[in-house]
Amino acid sequence: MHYTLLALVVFLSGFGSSFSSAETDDAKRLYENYQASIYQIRLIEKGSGNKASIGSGFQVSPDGYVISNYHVVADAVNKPDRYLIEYLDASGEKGELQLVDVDVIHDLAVLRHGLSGRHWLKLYQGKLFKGTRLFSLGNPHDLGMTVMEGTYNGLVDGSYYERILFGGSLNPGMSGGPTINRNGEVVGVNVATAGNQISFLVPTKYLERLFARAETALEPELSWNERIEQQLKLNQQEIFGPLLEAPWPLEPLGELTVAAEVSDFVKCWGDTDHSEKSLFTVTHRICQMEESIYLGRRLTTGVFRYEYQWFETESLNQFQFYNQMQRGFYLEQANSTRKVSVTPFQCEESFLNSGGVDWKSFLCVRRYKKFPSLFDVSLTMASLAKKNRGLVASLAAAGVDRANARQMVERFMESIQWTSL
Amino acid sequence: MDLIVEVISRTGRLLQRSKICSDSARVGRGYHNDVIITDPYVCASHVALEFDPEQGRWRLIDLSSRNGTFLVGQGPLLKSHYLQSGEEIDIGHTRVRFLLPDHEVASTKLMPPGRMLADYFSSPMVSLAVLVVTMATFALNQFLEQGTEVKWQELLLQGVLFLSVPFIWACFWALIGRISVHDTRFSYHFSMGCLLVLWGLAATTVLKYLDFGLNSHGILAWLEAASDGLVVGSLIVASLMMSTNMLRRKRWLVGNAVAGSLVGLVLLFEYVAKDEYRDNLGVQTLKPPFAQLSPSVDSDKLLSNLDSLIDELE
Repeated sequence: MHYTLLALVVFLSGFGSSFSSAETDDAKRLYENYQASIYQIRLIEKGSGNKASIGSGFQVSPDGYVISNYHVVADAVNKPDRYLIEYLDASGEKGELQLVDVDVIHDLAVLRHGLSGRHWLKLYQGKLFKGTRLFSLGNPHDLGMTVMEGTYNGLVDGSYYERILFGGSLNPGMSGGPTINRNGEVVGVNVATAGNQISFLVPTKYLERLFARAETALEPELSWNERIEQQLKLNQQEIFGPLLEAPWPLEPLGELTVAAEVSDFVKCWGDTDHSEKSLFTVTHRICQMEESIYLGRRLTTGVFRYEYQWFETESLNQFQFYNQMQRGFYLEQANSTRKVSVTPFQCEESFLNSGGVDWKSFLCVRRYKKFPSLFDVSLTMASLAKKNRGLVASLAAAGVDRANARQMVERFMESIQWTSL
Repeated sequence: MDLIVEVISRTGRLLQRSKICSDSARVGRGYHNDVIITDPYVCASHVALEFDPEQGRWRLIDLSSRNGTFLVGQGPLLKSHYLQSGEEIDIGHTRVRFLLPDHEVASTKLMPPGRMLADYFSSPMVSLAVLVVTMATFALNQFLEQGTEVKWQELLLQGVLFLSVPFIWACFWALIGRISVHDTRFSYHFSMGCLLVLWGLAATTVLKYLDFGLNSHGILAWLEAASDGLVVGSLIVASLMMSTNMLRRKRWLVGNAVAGSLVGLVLLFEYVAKDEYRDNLGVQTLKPPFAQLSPSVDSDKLLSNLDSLIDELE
């Protein structure tokens, strides 16, 4: 499942706009009543003075607090010298916005303009039912302020970071805009889409939490990077703490038992390759936490996955067999990123004896340049126990601290157990 | 008595050689001379040579030449001079050496072993044997790479296609040989080409096993570059020997220069152009269990390795 973040990077947008708005009287009324609280959020590139990317946002208090997505303003957080944040309201008025706080985990940002006494939206506090009609507001593709109708479909199943499944159409540029109910109360913040009327909203409870934090005194001595690093560290502790304490469920694969779904938010997929001409079989199991945290252009983190490939043959000799097994013996990066954000991988290649069996192992680590206490760790190991059967096991965890990296690797190795040797 | 007259360069290289079989001879630019010298500073009749039967020696007489005659190492020739075998004179810009038939020559040199080996590889039977070995090795290598059922005909076809590399190599050098020394020697060059690819295949395989068995990826890339450089260098020397009249020193110079540039290029890619960021990613080498050459560590050691990697990054 891949979500598309909705911030519209202008020079990248090449796709057409195909959104249907089944306009109803409700939509018309809501649009008329609340359009004054909605803004287009623009990142202005200081050199050219033009907008470099756009999103949406909405005011949530009489004293000028505006909510949007972190990914809408990420460039301004990462490169404050290059970008400034600007709003454009329904009447065409522009003004500068100050960044107050961000929540990278739930993709939220609090901004503020200096003006008071403007229109603002209330947050909805009650319970929602599947099928409730909702209305999403925003400015898709810089085409103008738009209202999109859809339905509430509860929270996404098996997701770690709660997201509301919105049965409506969201398009690039609508990120950070509100989705409201018929009474004009905010039920979520537009954040991502999977296409075909499958869209995602950030629930307002995270917004309330962030807003409360933003209003009270912050720790101004911390830089944005330090604040984000704190959030990431806390978040990975919340994820890996319980996961490392609980026993891991093991399921058989070939002549071993290996980890299955170690948590509700980890999903496993499987497959067996066995073409007619092939003289060996490979059985895969790949398990991963599919949600990632967006930190900036081409820098995401927070993903972790483990993969097992069981190879066996009756007719290949050991030279041929290990040549085939080599195809599965690779190291890959856990998350999408690029050179400027992380150091190169530092690797250690060794023969390992684990579970009474020899393995060839590659262990690699790299550090986030802006968040020095966080690392991506990758381990891949191939068994050398038998001439015609073997396992390649790989682990990749993105954005973990030293202690969690160590414990993940340890638990991963422990979870691989041979049933017949 | 016969006399040998040689026109030589100042560095001693032979340019022209004549043998006088009478008792007298003339040397000069004119066409009536026995030894004709093409040098505008030499007179039409420059010197005369006469055999003195009483002395049993040849006498050199200057025929009142305009630019004179000089005995090398002794100065100008005044009137006449009795020659000794091996003696040299300068007339105009030309140096002339006189030798008697009993002048001693250097002992016979043995054929260089390379040349003998070259003749061995020129034999069609040897060349054919090298071809078969190369094809078989390649087919075996291909066979070990396969994970699917494979027909021997397919392997054979791949082997034949693979031979296009030595074939092109041989065509190139045969053409050079044909042009510069009128000696094609196709089978020799083909054998050499086969040896080149065989060596490449063997070196890659051995180094991959060592890379796997010793956990030492970095050093082996160097070794591979050095081995490739060595083999390409030697083959170029061997091909130059057969296809050109290049002197040995020059051959080695060219061979080493090519090999050196090859190794240099590899090193350039290793250390300048390589992408450190992606370097460790991708498929790693895996070989059967018997290739493990270094001992296994336990899980605790692996975890402490992780700690040290993190320490390095911090």
